[in-house]
Amino acid sequence: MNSESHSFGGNVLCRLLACAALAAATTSCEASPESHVPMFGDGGMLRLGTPLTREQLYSFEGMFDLSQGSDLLGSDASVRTSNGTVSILTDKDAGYVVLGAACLPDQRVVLEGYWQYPTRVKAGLVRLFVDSPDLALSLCNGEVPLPSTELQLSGSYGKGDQYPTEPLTLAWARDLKPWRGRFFTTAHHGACEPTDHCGVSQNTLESMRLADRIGSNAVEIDVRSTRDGIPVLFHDPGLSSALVEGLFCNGKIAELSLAELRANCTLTYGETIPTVGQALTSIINETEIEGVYLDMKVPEAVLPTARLAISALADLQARNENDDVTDDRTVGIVVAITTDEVLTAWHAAKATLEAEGLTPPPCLLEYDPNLVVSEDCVAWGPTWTQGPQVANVNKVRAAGAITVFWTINQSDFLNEFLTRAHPNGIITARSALLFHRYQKIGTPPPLPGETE
Amino acid sequence: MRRLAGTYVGALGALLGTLSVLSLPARAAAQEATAPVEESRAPSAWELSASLGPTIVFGEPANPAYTQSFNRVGVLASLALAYRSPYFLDPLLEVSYAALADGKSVLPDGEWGAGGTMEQHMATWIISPGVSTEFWRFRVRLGIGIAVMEQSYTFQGEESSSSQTPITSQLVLGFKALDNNLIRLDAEARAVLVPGTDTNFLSFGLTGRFDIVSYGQP
Repeated sequence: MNSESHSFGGNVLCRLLACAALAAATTSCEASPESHVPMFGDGGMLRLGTPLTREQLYSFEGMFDLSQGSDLLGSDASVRTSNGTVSILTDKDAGYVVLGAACLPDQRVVLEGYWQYPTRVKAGLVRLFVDSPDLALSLCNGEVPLPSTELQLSGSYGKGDQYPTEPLTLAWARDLKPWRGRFFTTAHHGACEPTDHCGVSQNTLESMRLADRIGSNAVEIDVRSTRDGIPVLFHDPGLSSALVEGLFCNGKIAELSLAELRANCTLTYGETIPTVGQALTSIINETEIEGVYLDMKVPEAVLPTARLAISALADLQARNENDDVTDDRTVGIVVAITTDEVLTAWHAAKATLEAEGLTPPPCLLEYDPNLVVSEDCVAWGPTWTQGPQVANVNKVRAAGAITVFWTINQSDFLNEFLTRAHPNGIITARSALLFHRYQKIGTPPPLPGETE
Repeated sequence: MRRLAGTYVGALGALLGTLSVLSLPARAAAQEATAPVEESRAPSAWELSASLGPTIVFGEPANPAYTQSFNRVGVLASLALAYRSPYFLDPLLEVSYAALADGKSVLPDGEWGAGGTMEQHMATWIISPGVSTEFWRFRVRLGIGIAVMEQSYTFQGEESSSSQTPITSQLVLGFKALDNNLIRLDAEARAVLVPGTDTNFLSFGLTGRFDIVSYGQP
């Protein structure tokens, strides 16, 4: 190779490298969430048995010590239940285990499902059995035994879809601290962050059903208004590609009608963008969620959302006042006032509703604790960045309101807020972690009217 | 990132494949050239160029159950002003418009009211500073700029539109098919990425270039 051709080749290489470097610099670091909820290849043993009733599942609730499987879940875990599900919640990587429970034909009781760390692409299968034959027989006979130290669950867990072989044993140690109607483990955006690997998109019906299974008893959901005035669940003003799919799905929520959103957009995991009406119906009928925090992102959404909340609360009241006690349900719904603009819209909405003879729904105010009292709101929702604000928490508590901090995902901060402020709830994307930390170190907040 | 890297690899593969076909008739002529193109580089100049060609956009409508028809082939037109410098990178500013896709969806009755047919159109304006460079008979351009992604819909007789302005990047690989003192004509393939709206498309077309102010004789 002569010097001229060498120079030519080197020059071209230099240009190609420069272009490649520029091309690399222009690509973004958009995360592509991966998720896989493992399932038993043969359908598992649950399909062979009779599902335990809702009442029987309460028998599994409590704090458990782990004698095997602490690599997966740590040395202890909280177990709570919801309709059809037994959940094991830990502070190890905010992990959780979601199990179904059934009585098998041979009078054994099996709990089967999966474990997952939400922040990692890690999950696996779990199969546990109730150790005590007497306790299993009692459950299979339809009885509802009280939780006791007799309850030990033994079995195994695996990784991915592999058959579970690693031993897992946990024994009931004590009752849970009071939490239903008392402490609100509030799922941020429904559940999980967009970068998590929960397998559901935020602000969806699916995320709220998941929240109910992984430790939450309340949900915070973001409300915006479509061009045709229908309140929908969506966090950002724009239809970011990190949240939505669809070639014709661009622009801003406020620029599109509900029909255009439905025709052209799906969320990351294929869900549709739900309306607030759908969300409230789903929460009330398909979960055991006790609290709904409607985070008003835009003032335009306040009045239509307040109407939907009034309608949902009226339906709940009718259910609770009829003769059928099986459909009784307690759900608190609050319209969260997030800015001065939203507060102005709230004043206008209240005036409109009262003129129509309707009672406005309860409100939550996010910023000034003094306004919580003067606006007659039932809750204060301060940001965590101002610290635990113990004096302000006590001030709103003395006025009969509750405090729900947003949004804390880290164990250290959760510990500080739980032990110093004793709030009535915390918004988090790590529901399993918060529930377990509350059970370990939290103090049940006073009931309304009580003071510490 | 993985998805975008894949898109770039796919786009570059398509570009190279296209250019290898485009270059076949010219290859013999190129081999006859005794001096490298490098050495016959034209003098510095302000150069105006115009491009026209079809596009093909990647991606799918969100709800196949509603989709009645969908056309992913469109057209791109662009104008660019470049300074052909004595150095190996030439700065340029390009403004493009691309009509990218259109479709029809049939919606049932729902919370939005009565159902019907919705027409969708997607287009984009791209304003992109960039650089270009030449080697042998190829010309590579890279631009990073702003895209104004426009959606328009017609449903129940009502027209509406929405837009977003994400960052965009584009890579253009051209083959210099004609080069004389008056005009230069390139066959080009272009890959455009708009990560903010997850819109990626390819364009194949012709670009005519001519000097508007030249500093010296060729």
